[in-house]
Amino acid sequence: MAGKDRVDVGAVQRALETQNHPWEAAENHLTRLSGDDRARRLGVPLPDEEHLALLEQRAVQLRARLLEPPSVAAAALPAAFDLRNIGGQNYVSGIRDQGNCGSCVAFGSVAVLEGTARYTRGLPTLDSDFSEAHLFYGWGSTVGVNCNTGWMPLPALTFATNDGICFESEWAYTAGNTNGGSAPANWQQHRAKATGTVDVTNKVEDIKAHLTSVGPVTGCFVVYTDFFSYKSGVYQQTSGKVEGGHCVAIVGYDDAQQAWIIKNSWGTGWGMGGYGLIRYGQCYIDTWSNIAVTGVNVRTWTSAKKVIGGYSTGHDRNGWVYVQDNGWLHVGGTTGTAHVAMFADLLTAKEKGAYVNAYSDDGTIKTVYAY
Amino acid sequence: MAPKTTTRTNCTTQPQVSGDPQPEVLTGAPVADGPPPPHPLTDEELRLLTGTVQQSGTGVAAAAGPAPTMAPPQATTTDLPAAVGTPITGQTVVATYAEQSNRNAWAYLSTAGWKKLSDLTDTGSTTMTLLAAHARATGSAPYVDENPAGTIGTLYVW
Repeated sequence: MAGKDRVDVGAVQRALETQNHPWEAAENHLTRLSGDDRARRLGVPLPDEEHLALLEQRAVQLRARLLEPPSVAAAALPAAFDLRNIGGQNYVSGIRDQGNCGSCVAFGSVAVLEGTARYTRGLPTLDSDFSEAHLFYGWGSTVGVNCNTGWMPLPALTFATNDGICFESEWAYTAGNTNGGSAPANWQQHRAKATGTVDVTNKVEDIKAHLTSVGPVTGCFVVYTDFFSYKSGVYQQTSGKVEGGHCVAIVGYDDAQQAWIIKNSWGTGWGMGGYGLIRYGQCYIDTWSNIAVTGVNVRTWTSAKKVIGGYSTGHDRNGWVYVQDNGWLHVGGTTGTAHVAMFADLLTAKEKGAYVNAYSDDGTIKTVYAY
Repeated sequence: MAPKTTTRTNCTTQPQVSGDPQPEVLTGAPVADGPPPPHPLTDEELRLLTGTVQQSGTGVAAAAGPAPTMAPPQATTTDLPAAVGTPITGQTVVATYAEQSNRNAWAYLSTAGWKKLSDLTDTGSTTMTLLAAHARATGSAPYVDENPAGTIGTLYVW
């Protein structure tokens, strides 16, 4: 429904013109919303005045640092990095749409989990569609979070670390959880769990280093009205008022453009197919809350896959198999006999080009069917 | 076990040395006489001897061994793993050998010849035997890391 106080895209474009078009604005499904509905596309509580002053101080310092020659550590990093294209491989999961609910933190956080699960395994095709609904409506509700309160990525990813979340296939997201979803009783048999959180807030080099070595990082920032109409280019605030706080996943950077590559949760109709560029130091994107995870364990069946490789050392029960789309999985076994039996089954399947369906518990095969 | 005393040159025959039997050399080079020399005990072996850990087969978790790092041949990254010993690549497994002694399995690499598979543990020796046999059956040239002691400590088979 068109809002009475919809975004005046023409005014945004005129403001951009006065600044020599740093980015392009266009009408989209968000610019036609009312102010209240736009606010529900966000989901991070704005900082209080004291915190805001701190963030501003950090941003000023960061912008000053960006004018200085890069440190040795910074110079060692690539000048550009994009998790969507590493040797032609895309490690970023698909663009989602949070809809009419302030659940952006769940989407930014789950994008971190999904991207990390894929990138750390070197597996762009890993089945890693995890449940934003479980994180937000499940765990968030236990601490009073709902569509109107907003949240922060550190507590969200702490839940993902301490408790884990199920897969999207078991609890699909709808705005406001209108489908009445919940985690199935046995959800812990099919879940993702982070191995730890990392706070790289206000550390530009650390954010870049984490991106290049582990995976995406959350980025929280203050949203001004003009951001909703972003179409392409490198965003910097040019007009509009503060609309709220928002969380996205940072999935890359480009020093030549002085910009972070962000994955938003507003569908593919916003920005460049759901992605955007935000200039370093803008709107506290890199100084407010940049949280990541050290890794993601997954408990799941591989489904029908082929065994591609085998590995062993002389150590006790240290046989591994490389399973299609799942990478290296350690063959488990509470006894040596069980370990050897599973390893033999898996290698036989490899030899015959047969399929296996293995249950992997955080990277260790506990059960295997070969057929 | 009494050592064998005969010598042969056919890979299908029994091995011929004292101590744990060894496979015969396929290429005509003689097999060294006498049992393999003792080696310094590893920390794990010392713990086993002193009874401070349980061996496999008793329902306890195994101590973590090294994890694989090598990417599949079709992956964009094809860097070889960091070798502990001497890497051997591009050689197929021509033959395998085992007999009734514990942890005494060998694989014959097409150029390097007979190499004993690590005898560190029961399951390690067994899984490496399975892998070597699989490499022989498929004709796949494994990535082998030979320990300083001369045994194969790591096997990758694609």
